[in-house]
Amino acid sequence: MKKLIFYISVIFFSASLFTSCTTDEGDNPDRLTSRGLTMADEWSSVTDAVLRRYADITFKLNYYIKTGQYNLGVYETFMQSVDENIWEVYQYGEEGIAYMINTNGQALDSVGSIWELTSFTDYYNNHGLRQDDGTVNCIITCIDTNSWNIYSINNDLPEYFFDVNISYKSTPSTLYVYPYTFAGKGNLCINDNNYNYYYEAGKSDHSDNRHPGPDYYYTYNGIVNLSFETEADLQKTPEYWSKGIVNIAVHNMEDETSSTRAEFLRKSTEYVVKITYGGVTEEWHPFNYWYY
Amino acid sequence: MSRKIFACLFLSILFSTTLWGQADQKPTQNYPRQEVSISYGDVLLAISPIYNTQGTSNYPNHNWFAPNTYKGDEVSPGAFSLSYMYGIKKWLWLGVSATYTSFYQNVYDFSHQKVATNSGHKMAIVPTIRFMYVYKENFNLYSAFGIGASFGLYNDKEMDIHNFNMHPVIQFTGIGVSVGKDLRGFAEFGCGPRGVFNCGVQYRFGK
Repeated sequence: MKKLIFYISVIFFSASLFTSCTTDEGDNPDRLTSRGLTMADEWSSVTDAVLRRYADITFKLNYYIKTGQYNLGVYETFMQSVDENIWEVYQYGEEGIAYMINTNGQALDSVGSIWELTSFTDYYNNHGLRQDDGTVNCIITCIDTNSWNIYSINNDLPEYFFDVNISYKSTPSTLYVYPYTFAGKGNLCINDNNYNYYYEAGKSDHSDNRHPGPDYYYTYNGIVNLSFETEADLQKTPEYWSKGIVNIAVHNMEDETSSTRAEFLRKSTEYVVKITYGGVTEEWHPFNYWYY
Repeated sequence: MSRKIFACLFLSILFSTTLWGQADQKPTQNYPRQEVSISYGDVLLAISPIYNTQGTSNYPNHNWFAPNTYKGDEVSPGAFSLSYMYGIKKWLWLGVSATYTSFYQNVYDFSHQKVATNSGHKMAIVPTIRFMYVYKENFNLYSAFGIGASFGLYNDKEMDIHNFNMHPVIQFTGIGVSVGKDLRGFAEFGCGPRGVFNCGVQYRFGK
């Protein structure tokens, strides 16, 4: 019996020399495009931020001018200045004028109208559009019935711009009326997210104050530029993008680049995004995806 | 952290010196006072240097500028231990155990071709105290406990990164059994760098 236990031990020991076991699962080889998906998510987030910050307020003002009523909650206060075409916008919780909007005496939904917006309080989250004097300029042009061009450029760093056309079925009282179509291009500055804190922190560039980052109180990471151009018109629904194609590229301060192509579809009631990244195309279900 | 590690190392050296010193003394009891053993154990509770450096992969992948590669499973052939014990009394043994564990992870490109193999290596040095419940010539039952230090080396061939880390470790052997005469087989259950389960052979000498 004792010999048996002894020999079993020896056999087990010898056999184990030729075996190995898994100690940590690797990446999912069927989910190679997850980086492209996060890039598309980031693109969606920053374009939405620009539209929300610089376009939405003009539609709200247009609604206010037409009806004398504020749209859905009072976050802004509109005050007409001495020049009746110029409106000052004050925002709750902020001191001073947040925006100045020149309507040029035209209704926003009148084809050919041009509204000029100047934003004064974009210390953060301006995505590279803030100029040396602290302002962000945006021009909203009615290019067709219920279609507008939203254009902003940083005149001090013209590499940063946003040039997008959006179309609605009718004149919206706010940007958040769905569906709307979206087409155009831009190049925006983003700060890479917290997941890359250790990786990107070393790339932070404090020397250029005109960039929005890095600000260690606000974000931890280095500077990343994100450029995009739509290949086919996109459509946005309240939930997600339902159709269209956009090409996205990111570029960091060390001249590293990466790109992806996102094609949005709606299959029956389900949203699908086909991500092409690194030569591989995979389908993701945006309300049901897990990145790994 | 490093203070703890150096304390563990100091204890380890102190133990070893004391034990070798005692080994030279003439024994008064007629039982083998010295033992060397080799064993193999699992790595169920092991945290590899690869994991220490990279973390797990279950996070959103925002590392946009990394190479277009993905990582395979991390595997390990197991924990190999070499130990020396000295019997102060029949029921009380002191010694030191060294456990080596290696970890490997293949890296593939998007066409699923292997481009590199990352590796991690760990060496745990653990001074150990062992209590024998049953000491018969051919059959022993015991528990053991040790505190030591683990040294890890991470070698990322893909990114050409090398990392070294240290941390304290505890080895607890809840129950161990050994059978045989001078050459013995043994098996242990517990937790620590030697594994949850480990078994091997030991040789006792120095009556």
